[in-house]
This record gives sequence, C-alpha cells and structure tokens, in this order.
Amino acid sequence: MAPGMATVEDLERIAALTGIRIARSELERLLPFLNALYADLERLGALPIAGLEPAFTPRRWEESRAR
Amino acid sequence: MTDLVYRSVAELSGEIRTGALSPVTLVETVLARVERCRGLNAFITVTADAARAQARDAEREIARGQYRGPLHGIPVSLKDLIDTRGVRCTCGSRILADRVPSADAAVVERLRDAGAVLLGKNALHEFAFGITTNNPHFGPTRNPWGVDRIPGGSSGGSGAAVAAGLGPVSLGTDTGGSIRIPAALCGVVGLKPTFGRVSRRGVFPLSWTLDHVGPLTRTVEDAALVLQAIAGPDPRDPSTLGQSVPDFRAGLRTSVAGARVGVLADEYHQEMADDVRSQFRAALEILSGLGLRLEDVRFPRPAEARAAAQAVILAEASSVHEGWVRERPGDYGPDTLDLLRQGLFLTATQYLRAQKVRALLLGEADGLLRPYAALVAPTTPVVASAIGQKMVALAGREVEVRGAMTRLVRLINFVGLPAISVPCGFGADGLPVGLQFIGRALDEATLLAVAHAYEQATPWHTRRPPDPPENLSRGRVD
Repeated sequence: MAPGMATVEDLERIAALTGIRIARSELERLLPFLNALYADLERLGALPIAGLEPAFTPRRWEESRAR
Repeated sequence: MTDLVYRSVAELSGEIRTGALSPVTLVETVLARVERCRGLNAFITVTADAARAQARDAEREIARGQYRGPLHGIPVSLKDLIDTRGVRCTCGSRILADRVPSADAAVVERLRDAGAVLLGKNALHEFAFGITTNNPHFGPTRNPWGVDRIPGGSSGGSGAAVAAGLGPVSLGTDTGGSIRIPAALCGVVGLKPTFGRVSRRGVFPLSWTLDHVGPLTRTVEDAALVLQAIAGPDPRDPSTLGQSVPDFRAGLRTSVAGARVGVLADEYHQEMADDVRSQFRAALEILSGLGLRLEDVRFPRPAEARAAAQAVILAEASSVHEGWVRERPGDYGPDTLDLLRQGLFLTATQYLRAQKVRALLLGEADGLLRPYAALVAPTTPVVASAIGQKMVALAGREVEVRGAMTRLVRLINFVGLPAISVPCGFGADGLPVGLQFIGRALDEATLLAVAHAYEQATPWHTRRPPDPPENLSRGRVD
C-alpha cells in the first residue's frame, strides 16, 4: 500500500485476490484504520533496520541475550 | 467462608501441608463462592465434580505423606483458551464453542503434576483479541469492584475470579497486556514472564511473537509459586528457552534497598488520568522510602514500538484465523472480526519491517534495563471503564478504550521482557489502580523481589471488593 494512501478499490482488489468476501461498506469503514497503520509502518522504514534480520526466531535471540 | 476464599496460596498451603485444612473443604468452599458469584460471569465452564475428585485425591495423598508442594490441593482456574483434556475449550468463541481437546496444555500438565485442583475455565475476550471481556457469545464479565465496569482483558474472567475470591490463582495469557490489564483493573497481581520462560503448547495462539502465559494471583508471593510450577523448557514447544529456573520464592527475600529503578517518563507520564497519576506518585514515594534509587528513563521509541506491535499482532492473528474469516465471518463478534480483517490487508514486507524493528528494539530495551533492577510505570492510564463504553477521556481528549488500556503494556510484549502488575490503590469510583514493574530478560527473580517489597509496604493487596448482587444479568451488552 505504502507509500501513499490506499483506496477502497485497492482493498477490493486485495480482497478479491485473497478470496475474502467483504462488503464495500465494510471496506470503507476499515479504510481509515488501515491508512493510519500504513502511514505508521511507512515511518518505521526511517529507523536503522536495514541490516537487521527480522526477530521472529525467539529462541535464538532470547538465549543470546541471556548470555 | 469469606476469610478462607481470600487466603493466599502461601497461607493455604501451610495449612494443607500440616492437615489443618482439608483440600476438600477448601474446594467446596470455593465452589460455593463461585456459585454465589455467578453473576460476575467469570467462568465459562465450572468442572465441579472433577474438582471435588481431585481434592479428594489430594487429601489422600497428603495424608499418606506424599505432599507435592505449595500448589497441592490448591484450586486453580484457567483462561478458556488453555487446553484441558476432556473439558471443552471455547476460546470465548462461537467458532470453537463445542471443541473438546484431547490433551492438556503443557501448563495444565505441570499444574496437575504440582497437585493443583482445576476448578474450571475462565471467561475471556473472544479469542483473546480485546481488552473488555464484553463477550458477544457468553455475555460480559463484570468487575467485582464495580459490576457495571469491565474487568479488563483479555483474561477478564481470570482477573474477576481472583479478585472475587473464586480461587486464589488463575492462569491467563498476555499478548498486548492481557494479564496485566485485568490484574490492574480488578486489583490483583498479574505476571507476564519473559518470552520463552513458560511453554505455550496447547494454548490457542493469538500472536506467536507476542503471546505469553502467566498467573493472576492476589499476592506477589503466590505469583512466584505458580511461576515456579509452570516455568521451564518444553521440548515440544520450540519457543521455550533452555534456561534453568531459579527459586523464585526464595528470591523474594532478597533486599532491594539501594537498587536502581527506572521511572518511565515521556509518553508514559503525559497521558494519565488524574486519579491514576495521584496513585502512581504515591507509589513512587513508597519505593523511595524502601531505599530504591529512582531515575527517570525513556523507553526506546514507544510510538514506533506500538505501531510495529500492532502490525505483528494483526498479521499473525489474521493468519491464525484466515480460514474462519473466509468461511464463517458471521460467527465472530464485530470487534474481533474488524481486527482480523485489518490484518488481511497487511503485506509481507510490512510485517517483516515490523519484525526488523523488533530486532532493533530488543537490543535497545536490553541496554536500557541493564543498570536497573526494574522499570516502573502505571499499568493502565485509566481505571476500569463501563461495560459497553467505547471511548474514554484521557489528557483532555477522547481515545478508544482499547488503545488507552494497552498503551503502557503492549510494547513490553514486543520486546519479550517480564512484567508484573500489582495493586496500587484506588482511583475514581473506588476502582483499583495498577502499578507495573518491568524486569530484565529472564530475571523474574529480581522483578518479583522489587514488586514484593512494594506490595509488603502497602495495604492494597489486602482490600476486598463487596459481594456482588445476586441478580446480575449475564446477557449481552452492546
């Protein structure tokens, strides 16, 4: 979605691609929440994370921090 | 009766061990209390007959000299997303309303091994995805301190049960504050251990990155006793750690005088209701009086942590529920469905960016904690809101109840640190306020010692809510 704002039409296309049945009125209601989240996540790109691996290997990171 | 149901595990176990108190008497007394307080809607399922049988077994074993330890004969309840063999586990949902697990969760195995008596399954926010426990399928759970108020959530039934004397212990789960929020709003203790300290095998997931299992109790010592029983590696849960488990109860006697405690400043202070602020300041004075050295500190990038945590929980929960969201959307409550649908519109790169931010914050949070025995902050910036209330006033503006309640707790899940909420007095309308201590990774012992020192210097954990009216509605509240 980012950068830029998503539209209801964008959400409709994603819903169709992923097989989710959802009324347009529901998408219109979700849109501001999603656009706020997309904007927040876009800003995260400014943090110094380029060289980092995602931290979804909890066992490894937890044991390393305990050493 | 009231006195017995409000005794701590530490007190009860001493009497059970010597034979001065029968586990059968204790369980019968607690079951009668559960029945008396049905209007609180703290339980989805009560396993009275099984509890009586387990209590009789405990009594026989103890009489034979086979005392297993401080949980032997103690009534314990479980949030109803923790699997129990042969007992339905609904996750507070219509979708799993009739599900009966074929095996116990790892924590249930450990409680049974410790001789605990399983009372039943506590109410929760649907699939643990919310903080009100205003459940559209099973009705709202009520706060014992104000029956028109939420108990918090998602482990709201656990908080209400422990506060009302429906057993001294409940196990809950905490993905974005779901142990600590109900503990704070119900005036009890809630402990979220370090990520990986307690097995999650057999616990229905909300977010693999953020889920933790831990106890709600009425004292810090009891939390230590329960953690002792459930902590440790589980070869069948790859997220558990290989670390040895220290003697948490013995650690409570460690002196904390002279230790450094970081007081979370910045955003933590800026948005807090006046009644919570007043209790928080009083708590800081007590901590100073205990000889702790308080210093203002700043949690790294709290706004970014909240945003990244939101992306992770939405994406992972939506992954868990993807099939049902497609096939059975009408079987979800509206708030849960809204959140699950939002997660379906996140991209893989957005999710991975959030996980990279987590990698960054893990290091920064560890660095922040290193010189401190603990950090301290309020658990929630407001007291319990009314059942059905959507917005709450905070710092001069209206914010969503969910956002307000998770504001000071969710980012701790994101970095996997242990944290505990303890009672910290009472605010508006006589409703409890919670104080949150945050510890170093895998150092629950020090965290518990600091929390215990504070608790023992205050009277709040000895206060009891009034008995609830007997004619409370258990019907849905929108």
